[in-house]
Amino acid sequence: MKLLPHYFKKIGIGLLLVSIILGLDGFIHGFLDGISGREYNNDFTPVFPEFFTQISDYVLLLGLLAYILAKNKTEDELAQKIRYESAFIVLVITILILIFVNMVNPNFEIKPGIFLFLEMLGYLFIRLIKRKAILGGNYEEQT
Amino acid sequence: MLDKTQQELADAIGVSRQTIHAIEKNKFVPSVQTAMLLAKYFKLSVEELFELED
Repeated sequence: MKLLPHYFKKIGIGLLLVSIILGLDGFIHGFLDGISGREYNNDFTPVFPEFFTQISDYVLLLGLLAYILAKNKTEDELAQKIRYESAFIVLVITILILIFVNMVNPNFEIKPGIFLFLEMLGYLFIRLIKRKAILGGNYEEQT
Repeated sequence: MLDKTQQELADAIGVSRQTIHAIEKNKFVPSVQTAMLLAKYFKLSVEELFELED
C-alpha cells in the first residue's frame, strides 16, 4: 500500500491545530449560545471572518487524512496488518451502526463532514487499541 | 540467541523493534519473507526457528 512520507504526520497535526484556531469562533459562538439558551448570541463578536469557520472543517479533515495516511517511522508488515484490520473493523462497525440507526429512525441524516470525521477518528482509536493489544507496553514508539 | 538486542535484529532485517517483540511474544505471525530473513540472520533453517502450533 502506497503511503505518504512520515513527516506528513507532523503536517497532519499542524493542520489539526490550524483547524482548531480557524474554528475557534464557531466553537465560542456555539458555546455561548448553549450557555445563553438562545439560538443566536448577539454579544458574540467574531474574531475571524465567517469564511474561516467554514474552511476549518475541511482543514480538520485534511489534517486527519494526512495523519492517517502517513507512514510510521518503520512501516513494516505488522504496521500494515494493524492498518488493514482497523479499517475493516471500522467498516463493519459503520455498517452495523447505520443499519441500527436507520431501523430506529428512518429519517436519520448526518452531515458528510461529521460522518468522515467520525470514521477517521474511529479508525485512529481502533488502530490505537489494536496496537496496544499486540504490542503491550511497547506501543507508544510505533508512531 | 546471538546476544543481540531487539533493535539490532530489527535493523538487520528491516522491521520495527515492536514487530520483533510481537513475534517473540507469539502475538504476530511474520510473513514468509521475514521468517526467511530471521532464519538467515540466525544461520538456521526456518523450520528450526519456527514451529507449527497444533
